[in-house]
Amino acid sequence: MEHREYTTKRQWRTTAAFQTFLLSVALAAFLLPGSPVIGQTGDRESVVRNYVDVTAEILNEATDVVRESESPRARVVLKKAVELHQHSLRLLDKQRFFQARQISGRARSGAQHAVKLARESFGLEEQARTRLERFREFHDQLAERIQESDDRQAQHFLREAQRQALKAHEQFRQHNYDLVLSLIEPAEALLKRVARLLFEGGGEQRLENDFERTRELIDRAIAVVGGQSTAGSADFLARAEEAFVRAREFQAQRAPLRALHALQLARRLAGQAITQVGGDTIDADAVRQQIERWDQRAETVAEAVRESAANRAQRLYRQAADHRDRAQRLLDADDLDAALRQIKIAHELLNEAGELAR
Amino acid sequence: MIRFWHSIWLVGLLIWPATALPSGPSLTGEERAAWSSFLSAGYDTYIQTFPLATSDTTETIADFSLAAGLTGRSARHARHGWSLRTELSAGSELYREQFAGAYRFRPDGETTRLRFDTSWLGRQYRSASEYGLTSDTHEAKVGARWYPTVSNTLRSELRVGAGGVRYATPSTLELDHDDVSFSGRLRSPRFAERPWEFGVRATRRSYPDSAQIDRRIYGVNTDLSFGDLEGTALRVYHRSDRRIIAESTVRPDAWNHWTDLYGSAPAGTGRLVLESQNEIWSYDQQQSVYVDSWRCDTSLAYRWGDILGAVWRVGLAVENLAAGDSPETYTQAGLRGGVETYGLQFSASLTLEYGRRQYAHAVSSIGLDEQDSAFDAASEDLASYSDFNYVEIWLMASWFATETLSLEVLANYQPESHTEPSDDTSMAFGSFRLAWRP
Repeated sequence: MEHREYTTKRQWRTTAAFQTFLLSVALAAFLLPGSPVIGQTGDRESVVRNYVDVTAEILNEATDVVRESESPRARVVLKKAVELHQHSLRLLDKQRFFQARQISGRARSGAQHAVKLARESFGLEEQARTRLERFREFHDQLAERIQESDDRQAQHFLREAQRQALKAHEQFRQHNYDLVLSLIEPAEALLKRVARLLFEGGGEQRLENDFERTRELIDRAIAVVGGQSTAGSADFLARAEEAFVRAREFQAQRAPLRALHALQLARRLAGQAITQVGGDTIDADAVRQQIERWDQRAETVAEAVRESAANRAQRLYRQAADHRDRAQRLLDADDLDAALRQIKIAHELLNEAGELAR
Repeated sequence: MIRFWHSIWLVGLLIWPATALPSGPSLTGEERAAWSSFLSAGYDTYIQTFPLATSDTTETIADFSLAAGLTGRSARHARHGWSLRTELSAGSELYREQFAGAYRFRPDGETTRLRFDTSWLGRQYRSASEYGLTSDTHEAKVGARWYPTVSNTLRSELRVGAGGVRYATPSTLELDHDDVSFSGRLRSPRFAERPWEFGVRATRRSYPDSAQIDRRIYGVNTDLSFGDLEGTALRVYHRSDRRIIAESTVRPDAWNHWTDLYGSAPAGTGRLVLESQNEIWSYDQQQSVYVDSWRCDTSLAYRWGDILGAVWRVGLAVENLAAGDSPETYTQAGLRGGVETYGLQFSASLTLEYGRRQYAHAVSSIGLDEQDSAFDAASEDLASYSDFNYVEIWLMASWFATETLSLEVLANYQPESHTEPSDDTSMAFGSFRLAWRP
């Protein structure tokens, strides 16, 4: 007998399938009514009985696999396959070999389908279980974070994600794992939206940092543009201020991600204002103007601080004045960058003192 | 019918206190306890078409439900914080009752040092329910968390939890079970620029009626993320579990590794987004359905647009299951695109994917008799799969008609077109919900 080597299992299967295809054609010809061999009842009975016996073995094997998977659908299919097999046995007893062979073939097909469903179900079950667990963990994390945020949209998405996950959980209880995976997908997508709103928005703290950073840049742009302001640069600065105010409005509406994007726009516009006047160089006049502005504001705040008798406000006012003096000294020494930083701190401290004294 | 009126009565009972109690700004109130409630009407439908033995079958479940819920919480910075949530729903398929409560001890009104949680969920199926498994269930959970260290550099957490599921009529597919778990975590401080987490856990699940599948799981997990305001972000989550089954001849012990990866980087006017999910199973003894496998689901997309308007996304999604000689081994690739908008009144997303899955050991399109005969030659593989093209369509939308009235829509359709036509399947899901939050 000639032995052939098969390089892959798949190749072996293909060849084997072809051989068995030829065999089955031969078998079908053998069993067809009117076949020249139809009269040989004994042979025919033994061939069909053998076929049905193999079907019984296949069903036994399929039963083990289906039992493992706990797939209701696989069980339904297997039950039908077993019923078909029992029917084929009854037909065999009645010597109706052709029908017995046909029905037994259907039983095998059912067993194959049941095994396929069971195996799919097993893989999907673990995947679905892990996805549901992951969802719960992620949901927990975001629920913690959302308590620190007032983002109305994020809260809405989180609620909807939870509602969606409950549906997925119910389908898990039904062992309907492919549907679980389909249902958990939008729930995860909603959580990702929440994360985007909270993390890309950066949460309350990061948003505040971004406000601070943007304010600094706009102030710097004001200082740089200073006396050499052109129509274009003034327009950019005005639009940057507008975007900043808009960002505050978005923050008030509890839409931090929108606020963040408005801040990005404000920074871009402030940068363009600087470019318009020929680059990031600070003008001494601009710093001097900032110091003068501080002096003007300080008069009003100083009065309020004295009247309020708030110790902390007084302390902040003294610190602010100290930074203002440092800014003046640095300006005199022509260290414009450092002077601008100092006068900015002086302005912020003055704001805080004013707030407390109110 | 009695159950239905009983539920209506309970729904009324839930709504009444919400309208009677001083309901401060339900989400933003800082100084006092806040209550909110909702009433909703929803319709969910699931349609699945699949071959069953030698004929096609369509399974349809449609559930119309009315639901009411009440949510309350303490003042945001209360030393003794609490929260509770109850929800009841009466549907054409089943009734549901949910309760969840939590207590937090915050000595400084800010930092939680101790937390207790409890939750309960009940389901009762109607006698005419279309669901396959209709045994009524009760699920309960309790848990405690202790935060021994909360500093500017580190937070630590210890958790203990227990829970259980009980079926009115247990069966081989509806097994009662109980869970106990312990875990410990170390985390970065709040507002860390680069949040991280490391955790260990041990859980035990026992099945009172089927002790041979009792299981213990020991695991570790890590979570690292980084992101800047310019759009560069990286997040890596990994967990490894060791699963030990009481009777390993019934189900083999195994290792499971799960990794999620998310990365994004600015590119042009938008950003490039990479997402990957990896699942690895490694069994001590491989059996018919327990085979070692590695599933890797990765997508690379380009996202662009204005967050204040519409954000677009287009990319490639590839999924690969490597399971050796197992017939499940496949590679899938598809094109995925979508658009989403985050309006304050209207937000929506639409995603479309088209692709193909190819099995490494797929069967060709042959007739029934040939398949029957193939059993004799290759009986070690009872299951065989056929390649298919697939389409996935997802639609999600929320519309706030007013401050208190919203409409939620979710729809999904996933048909598969196989090389072996008798394997064709399709799955569709639709959900509509009108909610009123007085």
